[in-house]
Amino acid sequence: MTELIGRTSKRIGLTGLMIPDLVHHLYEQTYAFVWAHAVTDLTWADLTTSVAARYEAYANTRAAYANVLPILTTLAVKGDAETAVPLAAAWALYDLASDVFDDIQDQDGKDWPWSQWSPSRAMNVGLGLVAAANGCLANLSIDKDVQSDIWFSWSRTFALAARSQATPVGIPSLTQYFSQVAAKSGLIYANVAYAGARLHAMDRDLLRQLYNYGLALGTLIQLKDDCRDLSVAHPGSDLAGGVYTLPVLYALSQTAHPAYLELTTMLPAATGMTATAAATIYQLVTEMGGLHYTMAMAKGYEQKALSALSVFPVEDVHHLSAYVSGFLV
Amino acid sequence: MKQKQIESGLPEEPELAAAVAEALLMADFFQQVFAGNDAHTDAGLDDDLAYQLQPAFTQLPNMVGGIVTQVFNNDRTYRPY
Repeated sequence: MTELIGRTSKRIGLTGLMIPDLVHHLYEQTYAFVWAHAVTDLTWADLTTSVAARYEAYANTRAAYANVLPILTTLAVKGDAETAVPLAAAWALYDLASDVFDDIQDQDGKDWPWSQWSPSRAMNVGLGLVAAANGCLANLSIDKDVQSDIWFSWSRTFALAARSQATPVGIPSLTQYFSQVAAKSGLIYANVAYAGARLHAMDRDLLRQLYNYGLALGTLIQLKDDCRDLSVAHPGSDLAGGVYTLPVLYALSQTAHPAYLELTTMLPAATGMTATAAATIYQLVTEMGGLHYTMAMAKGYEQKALSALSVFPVEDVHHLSAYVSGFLV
Repeated sequence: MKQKQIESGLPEEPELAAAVAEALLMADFFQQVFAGNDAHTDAGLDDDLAYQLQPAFTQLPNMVGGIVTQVFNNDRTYRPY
């Protein structure tokens, strides 16, 4: 491990992105822990299939960074990566469970194994993943107070996210929209980043900086996802469900724009719309500045994340920096 | 307090409120910028936040057009980054 820290060699992932050896190594370690402590003993084929599918999909991609985020924030405060592996394993499993439940709710046909299963079958796998994640957390070799702090912050945050997911707002106010973004993504990444650092650090200011880093990271991820979900490649997954996100909300605020009337005419019919209609809405929202506005917001959050890292030595946070910097390239 | 906890099922969420407040501030700021206004003063942002955000704008010429650069070039109170 030590010899990898600070090395700059990289491997080219399936997507052509460069993944540093350290991140790849931490990813492998995280899943080795998952297999050894959370999956194998269960002898549950569906759960094993789900974890294997996630492992294969994320390996050598930027998503690997997300799974090892708590280890990277441990390293940022000069902690021991090995100590943080169970935390990363728990986070990877919680994240996977939330995707399983999200796919059951949305029924959007992603190419994951659980999307091919009945809801009850997938739901039980999701529950199993949550239990497996709890088991990983119990394996943390740390002070009880620290463990309790992490348990509490994660439990509370995940409950907030679930509540938010359970109460979508079709046409939200900006306050409601950002409340959803914060609950479903921003605060989760904030607390995951915080937890990794908390394993080793007590300094409130440093912990707050990494919390802020995670908050900004999670927010920009959601903003970018909201732009992606609007594109033709994802024909109206939000709009088809009657959910308006920031690009659309911004466009709807442009009441004097020549395309406003056409957009307001098309949006109510978005549920179950054709690919052509989705493309038209996407074009209108783009013309009205909705995507640029949202990406500018995301860029602002990128800058906030990088600013949060500025108090640390560059060599301790360069992977965190690379992770956030690559999102909007 | 007790009544509020029962209603929401969760304790108060100061972190959530803080994250939303910050997002609304930024949303308003960018809305002003996109409208071509002097966002630095009109949006009521403090110097530190605008200072923190400025590098993002310089990286955005293709994304949001010249208006951002124009806003900051015209902002006499702005400190060079």
